[in-house]
Amino acid sequence: MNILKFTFFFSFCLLSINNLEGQNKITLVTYKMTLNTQQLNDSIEPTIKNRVKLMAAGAEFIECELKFNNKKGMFKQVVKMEVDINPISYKLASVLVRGNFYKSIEDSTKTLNKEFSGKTYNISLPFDESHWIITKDTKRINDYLCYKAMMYSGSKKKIETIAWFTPEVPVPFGPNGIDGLPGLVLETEVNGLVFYATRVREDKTNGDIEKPMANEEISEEEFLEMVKSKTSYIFER
Amino acid sequence: MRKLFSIFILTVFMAGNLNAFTWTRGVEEKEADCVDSARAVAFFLMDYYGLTDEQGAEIVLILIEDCDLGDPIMGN
Repeated sequence: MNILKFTFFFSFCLLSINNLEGQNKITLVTYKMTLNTQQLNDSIEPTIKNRVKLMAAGAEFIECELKFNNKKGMFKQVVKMEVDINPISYKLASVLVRGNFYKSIEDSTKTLNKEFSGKTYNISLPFDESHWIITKDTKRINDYLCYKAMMYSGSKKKIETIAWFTPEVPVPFGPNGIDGLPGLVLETEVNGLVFYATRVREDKTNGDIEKPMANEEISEEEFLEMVKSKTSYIFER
Repeated sequence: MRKLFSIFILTVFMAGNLNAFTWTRGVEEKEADCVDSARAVAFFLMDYYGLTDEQGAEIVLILIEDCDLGDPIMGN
C-alpha cells in the first residue's frame, strides 16, 4: 500500500515538474517576408510600380521573430545594423511590419507597440475578434502539418487574409498580428504580402516575455483618430 | 554713358529676378510632384495591400525624405 502511495506521489511530482517546464519553455520562430509584385498589371502607373518593386526588394532583407510560451507571445522585426541594399528600399519594406505585437492569453490582451510621430504607443487591439474560416486544405511547412484558414476584411477593396496554422503547436500566435487560430501560424498572405516561417526552435536563454514599454496606452479607436488628425494634410484626396 | 549704365543695371536686376523666380517655381513644382507621387504610392499600397493609415503616412514621409529637390539651375 505504501509503495502504491509512493508511486502515486512520485508520478504526481513528475507531472507537475513537466507541466512547469512546459509553461516556461520558450519557442522562437523566425519569419521572412516577400511582397508579390507579379500581379501588378500595366494599368498601374510606372512610378507607383517602381516604388512597389523597390519596396519588394527591401522586403527580402526583412527578418522577424516570434517568441512565445504557452501564456504570452511577442512578434517583432529583427533589428539589423547594416543591410546590403538601398536604405530607402529597406525603410519602405520595414513599414510592412506594422509594429511589435504582444499577446497574453492570461490577461486576454493583444497590444500593438509602435512609434508614431515621435512617441511610442501601446495600442490595445481586440483579443479574439478574427472571423476565420478554417478549410480542409493542408500542406507541410517545416515538417509541421498546417491547415489553411481564411478571413475577409476591408471596405473599399476586399482584403483576403490567408493563414496556414499547425495544431501540432496549439498556441494562438502568429506573425504581424495575424493570429487567433487553434495553432501556431507558420505562413500568412494578405493580398500578396507573405510572411513565412523559416525556423522553429527552442530558446535556451530562459528569458521572459515582457509587455513592451510605451509613452502612452491607447485604444485602437483613439489611435486611428489621432493618426487621422495628424495625417489629414497628407491624405486629403 | 549714365543711361547705358542704368539700362545695364536694370537688365542684370531683371535677369536675376527671373532666374530666382524660375528656380523657386522649379523647386515648388518638384516638391508638389514629389508629394503627389508619394501620396499616390501610399494610396495604392493601402488599397491594394491593405496597409493602414499610419503605414500609409509613414510611406509618404519616407518617400518625401528621399525626394531630390536639388537646384534646377545647376541642373541637379
